[in-house]
Amino acid sequence: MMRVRGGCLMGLAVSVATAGMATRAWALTDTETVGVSAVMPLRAELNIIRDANSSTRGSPGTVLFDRYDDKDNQPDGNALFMYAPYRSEAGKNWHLLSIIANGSSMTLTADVTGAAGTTPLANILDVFTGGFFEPFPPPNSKGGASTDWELLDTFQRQFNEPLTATAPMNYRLRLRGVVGGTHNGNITFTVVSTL
Amino acid sequence: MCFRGDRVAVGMAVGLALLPARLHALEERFEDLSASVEVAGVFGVDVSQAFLTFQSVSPGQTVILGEGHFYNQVTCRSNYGRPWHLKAELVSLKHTAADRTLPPAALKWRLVDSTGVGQSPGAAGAFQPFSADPVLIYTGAGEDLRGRAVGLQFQYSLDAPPSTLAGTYVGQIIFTMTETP
Repeated sequence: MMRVRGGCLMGLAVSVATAGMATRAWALTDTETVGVSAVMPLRAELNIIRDANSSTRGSPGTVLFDRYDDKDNQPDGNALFMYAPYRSEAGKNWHLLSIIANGSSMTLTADVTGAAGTTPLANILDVFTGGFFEPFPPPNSKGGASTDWELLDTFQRQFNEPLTATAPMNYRLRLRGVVGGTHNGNITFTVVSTL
Repeated sequence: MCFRGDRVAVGMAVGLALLPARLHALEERFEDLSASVEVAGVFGVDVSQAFLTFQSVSPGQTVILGEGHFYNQVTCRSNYGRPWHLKAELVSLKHTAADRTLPPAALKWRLVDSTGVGQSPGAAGAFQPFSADPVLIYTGAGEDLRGRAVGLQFQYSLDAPPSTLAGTYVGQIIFTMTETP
């Protein structure tokens, strides 16, 4: 009697295992899910740097005008302007603005203070930028280049995307009505990054 | 009296002689029983730490979770005797407020240590990128297929591209243990 029962049980066990094998053969799978979160803080950073294409005169943090353009470029120079870098330093920039701004929009502005005699520097200091370039490979222009000299005090650029870029900058001083001598002022660049 | 005493003595001797024979018979009765045992199948994966949190990652920066040790352990177990594979895919790393995602390859894994005897693809000890498609992490072999738990210890790294929009990104990694290659 016991043998018969055992036989029935074994037979049942075998049939269950066989049925299981038929569905499991290529389908044994288990999954586990792991959540991931990453927090990127908002950044707005501006540095003034130089690269291999920068003028080697003076320092990156000081824009130096010390040569009349007509003295620099004879006979085609203009005595009413000074340039930093000199126009004879062809292909050079004075310095670069290095910007890291990872908000959904970024605004760069400049403010000029000081005077050359009675003339506010804000009225006579111009800027020309070659554009904004992401420095990591491949080199990628983000636009924003000047099409002509711009008054620095009203200079503004806006990008509606995160930006990590450098912008080469050149400067020009208009000398009409400016008396000779040593004049000093300040340029303040401001980067605002907004989420 | 002497005769009766002899009979009693004989009877006791017979009784003692029979006792071992009965015990032996009981053992034989147990041998007649049939038994059926089915060893249950085990096939599963578990993760010790089910959330990767990169607290503060600046653009252009790389942050490693579990540096110097390991961050979490994925434990796989199978007793089916057939090769199995552990795969992983990154569903997405999506900005919670903007329509931006981090590229899957920005998140990488590194197998720091293993209690198994199987193999992991790629250079030993190197970080490997996740993908939106399942990528092979480990293939069990030998003793790994015979029911013992295989602990796989991982580190993770996140490379934030320089132009990464600020904010919080969330996503999911799905670890799949499967016999399908």
